[in-house]
Amino acid sequence: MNTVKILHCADIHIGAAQSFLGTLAEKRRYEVLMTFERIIDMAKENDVKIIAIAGDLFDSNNIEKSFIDAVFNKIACVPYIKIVAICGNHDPLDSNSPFNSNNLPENLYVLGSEDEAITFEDIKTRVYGRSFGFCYENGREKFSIIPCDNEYINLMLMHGDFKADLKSNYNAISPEFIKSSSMDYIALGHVHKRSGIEKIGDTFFAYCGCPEGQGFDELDQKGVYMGNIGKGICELEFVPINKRRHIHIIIDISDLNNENEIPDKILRSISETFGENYPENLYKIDLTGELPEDFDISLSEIAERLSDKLFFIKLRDYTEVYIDKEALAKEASLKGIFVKNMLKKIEEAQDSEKIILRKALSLGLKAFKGEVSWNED
Amino acid sequence: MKIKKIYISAFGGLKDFSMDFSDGFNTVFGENENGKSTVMSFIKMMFYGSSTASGLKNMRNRYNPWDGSDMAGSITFEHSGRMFRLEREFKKSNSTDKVVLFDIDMGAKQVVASDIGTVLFGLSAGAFEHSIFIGSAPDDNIDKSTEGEINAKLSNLSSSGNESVSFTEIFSRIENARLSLNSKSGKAGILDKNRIKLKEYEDSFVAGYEEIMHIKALKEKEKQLCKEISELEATANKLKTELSRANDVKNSEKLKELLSIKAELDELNKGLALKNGKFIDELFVRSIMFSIGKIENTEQKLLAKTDEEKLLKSNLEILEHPSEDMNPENAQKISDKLAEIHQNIENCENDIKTKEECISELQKELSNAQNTKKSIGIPLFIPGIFLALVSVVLLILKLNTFAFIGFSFGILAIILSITIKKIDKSLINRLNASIADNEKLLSELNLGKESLITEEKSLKEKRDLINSVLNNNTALIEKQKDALKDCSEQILALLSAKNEETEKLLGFYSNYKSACDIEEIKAELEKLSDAASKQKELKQQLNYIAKDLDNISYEEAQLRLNELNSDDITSADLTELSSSAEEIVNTLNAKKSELAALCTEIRFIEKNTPNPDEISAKIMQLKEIISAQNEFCEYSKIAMDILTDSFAEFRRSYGSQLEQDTTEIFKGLTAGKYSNVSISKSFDVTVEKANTFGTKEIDYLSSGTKDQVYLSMRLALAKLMSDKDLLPIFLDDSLDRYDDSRTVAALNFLKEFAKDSQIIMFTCHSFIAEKSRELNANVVNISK
Repeated sequence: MNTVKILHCADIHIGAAQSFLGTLAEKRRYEVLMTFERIIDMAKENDVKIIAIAGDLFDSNNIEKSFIDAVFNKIACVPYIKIVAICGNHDPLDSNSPFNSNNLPENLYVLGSEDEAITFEDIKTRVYGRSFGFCYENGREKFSIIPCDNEYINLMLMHGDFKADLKSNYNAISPEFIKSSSMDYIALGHVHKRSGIEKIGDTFFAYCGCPEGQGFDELDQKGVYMGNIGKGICELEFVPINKRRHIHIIIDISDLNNENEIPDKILRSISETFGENYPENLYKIDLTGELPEDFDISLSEIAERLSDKLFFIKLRDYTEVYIDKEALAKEASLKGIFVKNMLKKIEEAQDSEKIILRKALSLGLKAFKGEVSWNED
Repeated sequence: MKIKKIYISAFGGLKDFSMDFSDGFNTVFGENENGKSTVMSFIKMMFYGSSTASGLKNMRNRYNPWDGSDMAGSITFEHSGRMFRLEREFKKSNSTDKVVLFDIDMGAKQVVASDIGTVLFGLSAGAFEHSIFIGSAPDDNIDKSTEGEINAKLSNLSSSGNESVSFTEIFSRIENARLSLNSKSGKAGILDKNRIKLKEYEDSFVAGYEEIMHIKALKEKEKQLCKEISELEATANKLKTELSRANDVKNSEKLKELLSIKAELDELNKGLALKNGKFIDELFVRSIMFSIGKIENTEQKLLAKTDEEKLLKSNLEILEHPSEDMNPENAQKISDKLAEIHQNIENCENDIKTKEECISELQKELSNAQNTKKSIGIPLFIPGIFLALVSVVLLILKLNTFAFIGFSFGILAIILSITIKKIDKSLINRLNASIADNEKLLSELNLGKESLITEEKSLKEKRDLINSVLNNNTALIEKQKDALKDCSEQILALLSAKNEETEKLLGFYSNYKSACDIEEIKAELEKLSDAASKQKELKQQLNYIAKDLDNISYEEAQLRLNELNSDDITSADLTELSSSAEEIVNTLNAKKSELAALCTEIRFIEKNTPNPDEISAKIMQLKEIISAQNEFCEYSKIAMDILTDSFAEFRRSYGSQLEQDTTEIFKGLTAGKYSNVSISKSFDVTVEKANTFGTKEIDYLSSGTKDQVYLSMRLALAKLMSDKDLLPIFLDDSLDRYDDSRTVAALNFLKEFAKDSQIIMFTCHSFIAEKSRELNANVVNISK
């Protein structure tokens, strides 16, 4: 059975400025570029025949020339691998597109903004697809080029939202579209979260997700799909490639005696969970738990202590002051009466309101102790 | 705390004054101006120093000893079971006062802060004054600044923590945190700014979205334009082809001529073919001519050098092998001959000189003769005429004799004037002849001189040569040899150059055909030159025609000619085609310009329009932050509301304690006349009479009753304000406005009260002092 080995990647967003990283943003931009280079190297080592880039290779059409040159130079280093790309909503194929250059590597094939197909006779494969010509594109019910023979493996690249009703500014792709395409595999892009390999009719399809997360809303392992595809065959496997992961973790520090113990607790928790590479990740850590009244937390100080051990950390304080609320509620002091009233309110409230009331109680108790402020690292 | 003793070193009007107190009820009696207020102020200033008020309110100025002594003193007191002595020297201000606290039991001393009372009593000066320092009612209202502290103090009752902070402070902390997000102006807070930023982002997104839609519309237009341009180009190409065909017909003659000339040129070039595939041209011919010229030039130089060599060889031969006549005698003969010739030359020169002088003389004579001729003729001729005229006059006058004489002389003069000219002319002619003869002789003499000079020169050379030979002049021979050698070398070099150039020329020419020598080449040269000129001419003609035909290639020309059917196109058709083509081209150019402008506009807008997705991401991120901040504001508001309600509740609790205590004391003071006292948050008081419905505000009570109420409240407050260690209570003429029965009742009450809390009462009324003594109070007469 005829198969071809492909590597499916998308949404690399080379050049993206992750401003929330502050001074680390520039370093991170280069790391994303290096991840792309690792993808190419991996394709070379694994004898991949086609690399399918399903859109948003670049974060915009206005990134620095040095990034663009680096990408094209790397592609040119593997002249025997066919690299087929489509443009996404972030890097549409307009007049400013880097893909309009006259010096594109010869092994780079960019599909235009109208339905297009390229045939590679040597590997008996046809690649279909359509680029975004603009940052918004309407979805279409069908692809206008339908494979007419079974001799070739039919691979499609498409960037857009998987939506049944076609209501999206980002090239909605409906199940009917997939079914009617007669493709063997559709390499999707646009959604940064990886999907599993799905199938509608005879067509396999998947979102490979982005190879490097861009924020704390992208927490899963990132990578590419690689493997053989053919008629009725889809042996793609997920290969992690990301240098760093975004991790959101909640750590209970109720068992600690003072603030100085917090950094060690954090390091212990994340090293146990994420292994020896844990310093490489980006962490958003919510500190929770009940702490004694005299337990002061300075998020900036904790972050500073961890700054040379972790690449990036963002802390949020969700701790509450531990008090024997029941005992305190019996006191005739102002604090006691306050606690008593708050507890009563919490008890009487709906579940949805309890959280905010608890926060009010915690804030009030902190105010009895000292200055309070809007506290986020 | 119990004050045991005070000692005033100097303070106000008191000097070296001491007073002892008992632990319970103390009455200090003194008439006015005896120093009661001084003692009260001393006690307060010992614990708190003084404020920085000016004028009469400046206590330091007020109590500065009249005799100028330094204010100083001490207070001995018991606190938490230990004895202390506080010593103070008053200077200009609190910061310069010297305040020392002696721990009498431990035997230690330490310098303490100026407001040591804050530490000892846990009260500020204001709170001290408004709680345990009780004066009479009207000026003693508790102000807002101490109200908070009093509330705070009272709120610490039965607290489980280390609270020393008031409700106001707690509330402010939360409020400030809230205001940092949501300011009162709605603009300065972090959340306010985030909302503004969010609005900006959203507006930017909307504007960006509109721009994006605008770009989309422009791109549609771009697509449409491209399509139109594509169609126009197709039409233009079609027209261009037709036009080209039409032009071909028009240009058919030219095409034919082009091809004909080309054929001629090709034919000519056959005879001019070079072996390297190229053809002979003018440049080739000129190169040959140049080369030949160079060779001939070299030959001439060679010839001259060869002659020179011959001469040098001859001279050298003579020098090396002189002939027989190269002897001294011959040399002498030649010298003699030379002398003779020299003499002849001199003679000749003399003759020449003489001749020249003679000729000069003759020329002078000639000149004179020419001038004389002219001067002699005229002087005779004019008188002659005059005489003739006079004679005519005389004749008329009939003086015939005189007329005849005059007439005769006149005629004679005229004849003579004419005759003398004829005589001068022959002289001139003779002179001229003589000059000519002399000049001829002179010329001969000059020739003779020239000849002699030439002969002299030749003989000199010969003589010199003989002398050289005779002198055996080696240097000259060597010089000759060197010259000969140089000459030979130059000849060789010239020969070599000539040969080289010849070889080169033959080699260059061999591209055309072989030649043995340059004569062969010269023979062909003219023919080649003519052919090259013809070739150039033909090429120029071809260029002119080709230009007219848009530099068409010959193959294309042939093809067009083959395709042409001259009947197809008329000149009218041609004109119409040209016109259509021009119109299409103009339209096409306009469309292209429009497209270029549109593309520029699109590029500009694209570059300056932020990606809506980026803005959308920022909006989402900001909304998340705003949501968290809004939540903070919400629960901080909840905390503040609950705290306020809790405080009110708490106020009610201790307030009730205060009310309760005040009621008890008031009842005691009024012997049960009143049943209830109510105190508001701001310490406003209302009372209720026993067995009577309704309450009355304190302002509506009698002054005496009012005093009793205030005293009760202040006593209750003082009691409540004291922490674990009850503080002494100072009363300054508090029973001033009491009648006798009330006074007694109050004193009795105070006596009882003093069992728990030391009371030091100052009064100027002897009655009160007397009654106090009866109650076994410690009465001190300050006057004594």
